[in-house]
Amino acid sequence: MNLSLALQIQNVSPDVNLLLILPELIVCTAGVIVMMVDAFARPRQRWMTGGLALVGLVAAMAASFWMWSGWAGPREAFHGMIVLDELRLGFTFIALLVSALTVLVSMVWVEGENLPAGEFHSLLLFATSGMMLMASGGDLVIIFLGLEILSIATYVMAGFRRTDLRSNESSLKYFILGSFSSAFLLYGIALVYGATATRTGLAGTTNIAEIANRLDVSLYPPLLFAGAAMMLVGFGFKIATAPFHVWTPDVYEGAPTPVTAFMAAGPKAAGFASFLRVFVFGFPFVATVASVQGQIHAAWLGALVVLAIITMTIGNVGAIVQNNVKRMLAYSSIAHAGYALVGFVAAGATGDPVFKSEALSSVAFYMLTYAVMNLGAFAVVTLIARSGDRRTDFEDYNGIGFQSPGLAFTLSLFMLSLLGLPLTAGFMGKIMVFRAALNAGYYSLVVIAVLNTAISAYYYLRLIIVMFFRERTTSWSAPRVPASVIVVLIITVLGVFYLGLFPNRVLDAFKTRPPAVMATR
Amino acid sequence: MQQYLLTILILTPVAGMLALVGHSFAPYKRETHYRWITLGFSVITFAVSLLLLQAAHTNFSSFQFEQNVSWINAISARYHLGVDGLSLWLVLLTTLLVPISILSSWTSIDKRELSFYAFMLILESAMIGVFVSLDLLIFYLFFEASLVPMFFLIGIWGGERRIYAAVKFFIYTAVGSLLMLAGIIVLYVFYQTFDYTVILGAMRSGQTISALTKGNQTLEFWLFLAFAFAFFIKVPLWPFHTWLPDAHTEAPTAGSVILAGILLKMGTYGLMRFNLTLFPSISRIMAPYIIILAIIGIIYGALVAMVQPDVKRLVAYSSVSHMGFVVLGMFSFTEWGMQGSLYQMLNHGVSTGALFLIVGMIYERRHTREISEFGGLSMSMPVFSTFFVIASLSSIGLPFLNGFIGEFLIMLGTWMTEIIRYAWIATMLAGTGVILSAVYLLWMLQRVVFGPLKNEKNARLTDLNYREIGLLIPLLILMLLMGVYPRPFLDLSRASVETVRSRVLHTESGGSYTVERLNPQGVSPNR
Amino acid sequence: MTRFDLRDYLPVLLMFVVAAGFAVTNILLTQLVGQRKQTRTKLMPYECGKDPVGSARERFSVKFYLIAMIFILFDIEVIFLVPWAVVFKTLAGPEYGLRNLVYTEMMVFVILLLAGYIYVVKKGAFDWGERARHEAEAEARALEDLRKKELAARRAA
Repeated sequence: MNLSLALQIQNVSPDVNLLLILPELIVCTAGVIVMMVDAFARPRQRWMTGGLALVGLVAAMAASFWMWSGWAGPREAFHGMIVLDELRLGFTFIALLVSALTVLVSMVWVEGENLPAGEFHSLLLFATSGMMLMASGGDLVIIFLGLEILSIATYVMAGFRRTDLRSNESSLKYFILGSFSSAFLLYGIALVYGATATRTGLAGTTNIAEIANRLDVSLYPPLLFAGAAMMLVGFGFKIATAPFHVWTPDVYEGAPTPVTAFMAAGPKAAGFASFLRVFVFGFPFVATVASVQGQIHAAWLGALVVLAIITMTIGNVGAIVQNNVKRMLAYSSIAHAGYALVGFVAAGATGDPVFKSEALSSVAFYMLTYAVMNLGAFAVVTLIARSGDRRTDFEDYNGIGFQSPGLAFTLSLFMLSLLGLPLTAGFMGKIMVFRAALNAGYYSLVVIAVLNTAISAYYYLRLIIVMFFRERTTSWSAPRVPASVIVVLIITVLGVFYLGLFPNRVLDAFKTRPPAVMATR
Repeated sequence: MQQYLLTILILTPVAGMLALVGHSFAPYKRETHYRWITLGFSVITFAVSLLLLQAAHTNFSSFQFEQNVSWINAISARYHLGVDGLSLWLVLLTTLLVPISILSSWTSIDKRELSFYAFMLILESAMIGVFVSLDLLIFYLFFEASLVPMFFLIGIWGGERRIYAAVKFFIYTAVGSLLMLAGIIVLYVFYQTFDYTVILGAMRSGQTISALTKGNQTLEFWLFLAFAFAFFIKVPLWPFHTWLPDAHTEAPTAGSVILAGILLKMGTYGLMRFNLTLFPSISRIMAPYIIILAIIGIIYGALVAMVQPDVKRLVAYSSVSHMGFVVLGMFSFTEWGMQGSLYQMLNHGVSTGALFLIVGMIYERRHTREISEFGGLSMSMPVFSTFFVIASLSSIGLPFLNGFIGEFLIMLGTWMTEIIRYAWIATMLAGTGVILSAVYLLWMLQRVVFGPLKNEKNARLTDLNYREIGLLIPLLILMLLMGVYPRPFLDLSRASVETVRSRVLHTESGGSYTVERLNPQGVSPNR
Repeated sequence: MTRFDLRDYLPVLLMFVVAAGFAVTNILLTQLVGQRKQTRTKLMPYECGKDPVGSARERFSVKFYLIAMIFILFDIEVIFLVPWAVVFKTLAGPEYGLRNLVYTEMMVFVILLLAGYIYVVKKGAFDWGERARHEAEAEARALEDLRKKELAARRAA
C-alpha cells in the first residue's frame, strides 16, 4: 500500500487553477484587509470596515456571476478538491447574499452597542469564505475545512456581546455542541476514507466522486455504513435537523439578533450544500439494490425520510409554545430545514438526471427563499429589540401594528412568506420542493409536509395577531429605521415578491447543466 | 383589449390599493379621501366587468376573453385566464357587492381607514382572480390570497371575539386549501402541467388518473377528497361549518357581506369547476354521501338558526342552510339542479348580502344585535323595515323573488335525479329546510320589526339615510329581476353547466367546451 | 461483501483492546513494580511545586492566557515551515519544477502570519496596560537611580 501511495504522489502534477476559487480568494483577501484596516483605523473611521466588507462581497458576487455565465475552463481543479457546478454557484450566491445583508443589518447595531466593528466584519467574511468552501468542495477534506472556518468564526460571533450572559451562554453552547458535531463528521470522514481502500491496493479516498466509484469495490463495506451514519449525524447537527436540533433555540435566542439572522440563513444553507454533495453524489442512486451502493443508498435515504418528518413536526410543534420571537424563529428554522430535507430526499431518491437536477435546484432555491425572508424578518426583529436585544417577547409586539405600520406590515409579509402563502417566495420554494418529492414518488411525505405547513400557520399568524389585533397598554415609540436597514428591507421585500412571482430566471440559473452531473475525474 | 380584459379587471383594484397608499403620503390627505378613492376604483372595476357581457352572443359555451401566457417555465405554470358561464355571473356579483359593501362601511369604519380600504381592494382582486383563473396554480394562488385580507378584516375591525374568529377562519380554510395544493401538485406530476384545460383535454382523451395508475381508483379518490375538502370547508358543508358562524358574526358588516356573498361561492364554484369535471367517476360515486351531508346541513342550519338570540348569527346559520341547497342541486347532476345551484349561488349572494347589510345598519344605530332588544321597528323605521322584510322574504324563497327560482330548480333537479335512489325522500327533506327557513326568518321578523315598541331606545331611531337606501336599491332590484325574469341569467350559464353535466355523467365524451350539447335531459327549465 | 459481517469490525475491536490494555497495563505496572517511599512531601497532592495551601480559586491575569494562546497559535503555524523546508528541495528540483509555486505559497502563508501578528500587536495584546507600563518604567527609573547612587558612592569611596 505504501508503494502505491508513493506512486500516486509521483503522478501528481500541480493542478492549480486559482481562477476557480476566485470568489473565495476575494472574500478571504477582503477579510484580511478589513482586519488590517481595523487594526490601523482610528475609532472614528471604523465605518470603513463595513464598507470594505460590502465591496469585497459584491466583488465576489461579480466573480461568481462571471463563473456562472462565462466560464469556459475546466469544471474542477486541485485534483477534484474544488468543483464548479450550478449547485456550488447557487449556494455561493446564497452565502454572499446572506453575508452582505448581515453586514447591512449589523452596521447600526455594531455602532449602537459600541462593539468592535472591524472584528465583526472580518469574522463575518471569514465565515462566508468557509461557507463558500463548503459549497465548492468536491472533497471531504475541503468540506471539513470550510465547515471549521465557518464554525469557529460563528462561535465567536454568537458570543459577540461579551457582557451579556445570554450571549455567552449561546456562544459556549454552540461551541461545545458544534465541536461535538464536527468530531462526528470528522470521524465519519476517517471511516469512509478507511473503508474506501480497495482490494486492488489503492489507498482510501476522500474525493466524493471517487468514493462513489469505489463503493462496490470497497474493502470494508460495514465501515462505509458507519462512516456515512457519522457524517449524517455531523451534518444533521449543522443544519439543525431533529433530533440533533436541541442547541438551536438556546443559541439563536442568546446570540445577538443580526448574528442569529446570519446563523439561521447562512450556515444552514452551506450545510445543505455539502450535505447534498456528499450524500447525493458520494452515495448515489443505483438501480440494483443488491449491491453495497444500493444498500447504502437505501439506508441513508430511509434515515433522511424519517429525519425530515421528525424535523418538520418537532420544529412546528415546538414553535407553537414559544413566547419569544427569536425562539419561535429558531424553531421555525428547524421546521424549514425539514421542508428542505423533503427536496433532499427527492434528489437522492431519483436516478433520472432531469428529476435529480430539478430536485437539487429546488433545495438551493428553497434555501435562497428562506435566506431572503428570514433575513428580512430578523432585520425587523433587530430594530424592535432595540439595544441589548431586550424586547424580543411576543408581548413586546403588542399592538405595534398601527404605531409603526411600515415595520409591522413588512414583518407580516415575511411571516406570511415563511408560512408559504402564495405570491411570496416561501410559496414558490415549497412548490418546488414538493413537486420534486412527488416526482420521486414520496406522496405521504408531501402530505405530512403540507399538514405541517398548516400547523405552522398558527404561530406565524400569532405574531401578526399580536401586532395588529391587540391593543397596546404600555407606551411605545417607533424605532428609528436607519438607512442601511431600509436598504435591507427593500431588497428582501422585493426579493420575496420577485421570487414568488417571477422565479423563472433564478430557477433557470440554479438548474444544473448538464443535468445533475458532478464533475468527475 | 379582449385578451387583457380579465387582467385589467384583476389589476384595477390593485391599482386602487396603490393609489390609496400613494395618497397616504400626500400632504393634503384626509381620512375621508380614502373611501372616495376606493369607491371610485371599485365602481370602475364594476364598469369594466360589465364589458364581459359583450360576449353574450357566444352564450359563454366556451371560455371567453382567454389570456394564456407562460408564467414559470421551469414548472410549466401558465397565466391562463378565461371566463365562461360558470364564472361570468360570479365575477359580476363580486364587482357589484364590493362597491356596495364599501358604501356600507362609509361611517361604520372609523379607525384605520387606509388599511381597511386597501384590504378590501386586495380582496376584490383576489376574488375576481379565483373565478377567472384556468391554471390550477394561479387558482390556488388567488384562493389563498383572498384569505389574508379577510383575516385582517375580521381581526382588526371585527367584534369582541374577533381574534378567535379570525384565527379559526384562517386555520380552517388554510388546512383545506393546503391539501388542495398537494392535490394540485399530484395532478401536475401526472400531466406535467397546471393548466386546467390541458389536463381536462388529456383526461378526455383517455389519460385519466385511474388509467394512468393502471385502473386503480384509489389515487383518484384521494385527489377528489383533497380538492373537495378545501371546497367543503369553504362552502361550508356540514360538518365543516363551525368556522362560519364565528367569522360571519365577528366580521365587520362589509366583511360579512363579502364573506357570505362571494367567499362561500368560491367553494361551490370550485366544486363545480374542478371536482365534477376532473374526477367525474368519483363524483358519481361520492354524490349520494355528499347529498346526505348537504341535506343534514340544510336542516341543521335551519334548526340552529331558529334558536339564535343574535340576528347576525341567525343570518350566518341560514347561510349554512342555503349553501346546503347549492351543494344538493349541484350533486343531483340534472340540468335543473345544477342550473338552480348556480342560480342559488347568486341569490344567496344578493339576499344574504342584503340581510347582512341591514343587520349592520341596525347595529350601527343600536350597537346590539340581540333579537330581544328589538321589537316594533316598523313604527320608528318604516323604510328600514320594508327593506328588511323584502330581503328576508327573498331569502325564504317567496315566489316572484329570486330565492324561489333557485330553490325550485334545485328541488326539481333533486326529484328527477338518478344518482340516488329514493330521490323524493331527499327532496322532501330539503323541502323541510325551505319551510324551516320561513319559520326562523318570519319569527325573527315578528320579534324585531313588528309588534309593539317595547324598548324605549328603539323609538328614537332614525330611519335609513339616502346612502343606505342607495346601496340597498341595486340589491332590491336584482331580487325582483331575478325573481321574475331569470332567463338572461340562466341562458348565459346553460351551455357551461351542460358541459359540466355531460362531463360528469358521460365521463369519456363530455366536458369539452367545443363539443355540442349532448342529449339534454328533457327540456330546459325556461322554455 | 454485501452482507453485514461482525468479523469485519475485528480490527476496530483489536484497536480498542490494545488501547485499553496499554493504559491498564501501565497503571498496573507502576503500582506493582514501582518503588514507594511514603514521605510527607510525596503524599501531598501535586500542585506544580506550590504549596497546596489557600484558596484554589486564585486569579491570574487574563493576559497570561492571551499570551499563551497567541504563542500556541503562532507556534503551530510556524511548525508548517519545517515540512515545507524538507520537501522544498525535491519539489523545486528539475523533476517537479514547482519552485515558484511552492515558494509563493509559503510566502503567502508567511505574509498572512505577519498580518495576524501585526493585528495582535495593534490590538494591544502585548500591551499590559498603562498602569503596568508606568509601574515598570518607574521601577526601571528607580533601579537606574539606585545604580547611579551606588556608582556615585563607589566613586566617592
